[in-house]
Amino acid sequence: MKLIHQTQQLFFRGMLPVFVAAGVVSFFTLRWVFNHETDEKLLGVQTEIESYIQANDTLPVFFQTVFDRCYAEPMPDGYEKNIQGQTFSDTMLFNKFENEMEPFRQLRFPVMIRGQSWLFSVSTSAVEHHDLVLILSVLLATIFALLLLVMLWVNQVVSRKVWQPFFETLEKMRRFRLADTTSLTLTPSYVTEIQELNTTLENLAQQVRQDYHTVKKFTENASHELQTPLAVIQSKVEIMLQDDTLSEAQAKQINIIGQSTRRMTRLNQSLLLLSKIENHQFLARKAVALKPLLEKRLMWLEDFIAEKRLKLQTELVEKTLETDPFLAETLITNLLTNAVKHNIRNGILQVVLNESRLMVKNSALLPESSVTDLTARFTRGNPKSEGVGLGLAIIIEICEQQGFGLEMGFVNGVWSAEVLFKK
Amino acid sequence: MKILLIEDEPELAVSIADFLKKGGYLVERASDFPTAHEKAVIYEYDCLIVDINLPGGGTGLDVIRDLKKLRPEAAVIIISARNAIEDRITGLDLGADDYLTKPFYLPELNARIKALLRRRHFGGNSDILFNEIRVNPAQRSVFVHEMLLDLTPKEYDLLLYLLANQHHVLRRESIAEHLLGDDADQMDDFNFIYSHIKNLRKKLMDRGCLDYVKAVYGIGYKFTDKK
Repeated sequence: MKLIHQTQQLFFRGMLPVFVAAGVVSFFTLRWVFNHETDEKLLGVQTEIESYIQANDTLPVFFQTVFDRCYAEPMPDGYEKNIQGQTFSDTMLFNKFENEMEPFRQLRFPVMIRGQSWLFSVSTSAVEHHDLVLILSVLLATIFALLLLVMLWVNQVVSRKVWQPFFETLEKMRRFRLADTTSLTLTPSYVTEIQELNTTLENLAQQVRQDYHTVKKFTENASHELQTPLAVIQSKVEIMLQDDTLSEAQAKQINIIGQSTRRMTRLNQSLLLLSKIENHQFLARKAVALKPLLEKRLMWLEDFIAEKRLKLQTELVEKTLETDPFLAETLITNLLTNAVKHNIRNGILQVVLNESRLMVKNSALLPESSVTDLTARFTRGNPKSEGVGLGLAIIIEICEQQGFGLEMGFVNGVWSAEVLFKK
Repeated sequence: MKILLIEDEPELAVSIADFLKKGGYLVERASDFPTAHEKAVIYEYDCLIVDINLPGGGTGLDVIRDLKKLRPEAAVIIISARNAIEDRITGLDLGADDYLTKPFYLPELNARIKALLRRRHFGGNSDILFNEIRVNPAQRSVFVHEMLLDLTPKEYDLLLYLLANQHHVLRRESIAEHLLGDDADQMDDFNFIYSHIKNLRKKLMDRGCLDYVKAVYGIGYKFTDKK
């Protein structure tokens, strides 16, 4: 769940009960206030009646209206004990004009006239008050609802604004690449916590980058150091093979040492190259014509193509690309040599270059391993091949660094790799 | 023919020297900068093989720079670690004639030295003779019993490589690298060499040449007239 939604939800959950409670309390308070006022009025009527009776010692004549009613009756039997002083109550009385029952507030009290006990009932219509309470309640509820909405909106706007630097930081971290050279600079924030987060992240990024480069440098140095012993082994193999007293079996063994050394040398070279590419050592920007590069490399491969009897199809247009010349050549070399190396006898080799893409297709015998497995470093496609599988890793790294898209797939015995010049 | 080998890795120097001595060269060695510099400046050699990284306060490039001031015509081949493109350019700018990256095949170095010496001493105009075979490197032409042989460029390069390293076992990988350059290390399967050898051998024998190309099974080939 998004941060903003989370705060909104919590805010909503917190505010709703408060607003509901406030509504309920207001409702009852209003009702109490209105009842109280009505009761005061009824008490006033009572005082008037009592003072009239005191002066005249007779029942007053009541003027009845639809809203105010007053009548007296002899005290019903056994009722007197229940009434002490006065009793307020809510009751329903008939309104003949409206032809319906309406709510009334009623005050009943006993009065003695000439020794006889009378029960007085004074009622006043509560219908207006009821309506008023209803209207006020609806009004209040509407105001509360609007208030809630406005507060939610304000909260959202404020959250967005307050969290903006955080989101920027997040976005920058998402785009953070270990191999990039530009140092990580996060937008300063006036929010202390976010500023602290930014500082921590910046330091962390710097530290991680430093470690990364140390490791890379180490790889490079190690690869470099390896070259000398490899050269020594290679030269010794050469010397030993010249010995005429060697048996055929011995010569073969020595030759295998030589072949393995050669493989190690190439592996080492590839690792060195890969780490150099990852270290951004090839940053030139030149217009590179791709067609001549492809033709040159295909020409170079002609012996291998002929040996495997590959069916070569090319569709090449003149296309120049703004990129590092060395990387462009390395990319093409690796694509084409891979396509030849992992090809099968009488297989197809298709090279298509147009404005938007370079596509290389080749027949291949692939194990069950998926495309993702193949792209992992050191995975070999053909178990018979000596290839160390770094070629694909180099292709992927170059595409990533130069901002090319790379699509690979294996369908019906045909492996295809497509380099999209614009992602 | 006198060669100065400047190489700080002793075992590699021993191998190179052994291989070259077999080819009839006189090889002197220097393993650090002061020795290398002194020898290069004082004595005259037909060819210098120079490693760039040296202990002792200077590089192989410094040796070449000073040597070329004294003897601009000196033949120099640089041997150095791979991928140092700047070194290669600097070296060639200083007047080095050739550049080999480590690790290299010894027959390749041998062939480069021969080609270089031929260019230096005879302006490339000396023929290479081997029994009934005569090669004129300047015109890239081959004669068997004085009859011109029509070879493809690759067959010609192959023959020259075999001739330069006669009586030596040549591994398939080393032949491939000679024909295709450093990039040959991208490939694994060098069966195509067999067809080139087959064609070359056929063309030679069609002209009455003896069969000098011996297959060393599983390893490579040897060009020899010895039993």
